Amino acid sequence: MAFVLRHQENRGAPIDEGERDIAKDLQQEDVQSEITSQDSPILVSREHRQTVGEASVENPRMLCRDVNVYYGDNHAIKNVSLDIGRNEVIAMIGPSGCGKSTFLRCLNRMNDTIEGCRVSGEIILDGTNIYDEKVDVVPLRAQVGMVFQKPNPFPKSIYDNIAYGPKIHGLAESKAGLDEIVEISLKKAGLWNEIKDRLDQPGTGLSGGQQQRLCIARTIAVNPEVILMDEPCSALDPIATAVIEDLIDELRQQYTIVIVTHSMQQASRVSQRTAYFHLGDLIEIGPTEVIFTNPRHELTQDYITGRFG
Amino acid sequence: MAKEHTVKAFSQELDLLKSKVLEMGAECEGQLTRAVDALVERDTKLAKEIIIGDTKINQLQSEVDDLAVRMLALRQPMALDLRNILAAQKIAADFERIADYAANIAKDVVDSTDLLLESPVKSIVQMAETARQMLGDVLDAYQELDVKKAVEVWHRDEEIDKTYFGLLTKLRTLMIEDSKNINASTRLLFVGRCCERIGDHITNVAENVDFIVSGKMHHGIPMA
Repeated sequence: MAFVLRHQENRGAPIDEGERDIAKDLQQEDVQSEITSQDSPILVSREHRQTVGEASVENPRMLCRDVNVYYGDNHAIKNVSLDIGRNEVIAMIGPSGCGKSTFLRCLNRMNDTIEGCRVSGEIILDGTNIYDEKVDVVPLRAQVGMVFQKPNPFPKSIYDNIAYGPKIHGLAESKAGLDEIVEISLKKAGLWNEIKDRLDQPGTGLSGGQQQRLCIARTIAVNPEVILMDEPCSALDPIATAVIEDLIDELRQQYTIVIVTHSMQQASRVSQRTAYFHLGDLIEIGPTEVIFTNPRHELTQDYITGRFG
Repeated sequence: MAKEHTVKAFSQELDLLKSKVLEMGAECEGQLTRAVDALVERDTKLAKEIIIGDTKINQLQSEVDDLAVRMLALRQPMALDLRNILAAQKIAADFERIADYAANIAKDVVDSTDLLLESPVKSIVQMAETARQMLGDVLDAYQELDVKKAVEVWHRDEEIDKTYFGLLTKLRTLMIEDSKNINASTRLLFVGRCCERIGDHITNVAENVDFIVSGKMHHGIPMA
């Protein structure tokens, strides 16, 4: 019978294994002796619309305070305060229409081009409110660059795609200087080795993933401090997506990256902080690992666990 | 509190996982009760049934593992769902061990022809009874995700430990008094140890209930 039992038990440890634990248990004895009753942590309820979590960071790259955005009568962003940290990737997630892209577009005044759009509140970069009348949006958009959902290279050569920005911003004094910017930018975007022998060919002839990295290189070429990415991988296959995600992680050493994504897996893979938006409110902000393992707001939990709607 | 998943099959799988773990727990409760009955009554027939019955619990654990792995791979669970699945696997492992200890007690009944020593057996019955109640309560705590109840169960392990140390003293005394007691005493020492270990595994289950609710990991640190 003993033989049979051993076999039946082969999923567990042998019978006498417990004896070895005695010493360990005795050591734990005093640790285990002090216990108090615990306050059961309760999730913040769905009705609560104030931001849960730490929205500010020490020494932020960008500081947003009480930002409101209106499209005509539509109040698209409601009193959002959120800091963007240095050298961090911050992901904005939430269902369609939650305001994450609208908020992203506030960060380099891309909303200016939309008729009927009003923005109030403060978005401070290097001590200046970027919505101040004196601010010129052209250098602002170099400083806070943007990569879009669909790769949108200019219908020009790969070289010109990169060189265009530095030229108009006067970043290169000579042809050699421009060549260097092009090479460095393409290297940083992880594209150089693939295309260095065909810089004169059209950017539009590259694969989707390459085009997107070309657009990232184009953004990098004008020395940005912050890179905004609006669903940068949604038009790419999983391999090209992984290459971009790896690139994002490398770029973090030098830049601050704000990424809007519909893929929660992507947010969890690339970001250090995650912000969850819902109907124009910033519902929760926190370290990515906390948001995805132990969110504090019911709405966040509903969304990330697939219980939305 | 938590709503239904948009993908309903996911909710159904989570329910199934939990029901399997609960079933394991209920089986453990039965095995432990029967094991102590078999010990007290010297019922070798019942003891053999217990030993055979252990395979059912092993089978359930295997099902829990398979389902959990499948859900982790295919559903990419997050937050509460992730914690539920991780905890279900850990709780199932604790139940599997608890059932092993019950089977060990039964195995001892089958093998032993020694006299039963009345007072130590009483201590063992007391430990097993406390463990059985704790098991029932921790199952309720898991079913209802009731952290307060889990904490309460966690504390009751101290009773088992206290009775266990009393049992050790009794057995030592019996062995010193008369060397003819050594065989029976060492056997009961082993049985007592099984009950004491069962208590520890139940505290692990209680900790996992808290992990599901709060996300806290305990690793032997007191529930606070």
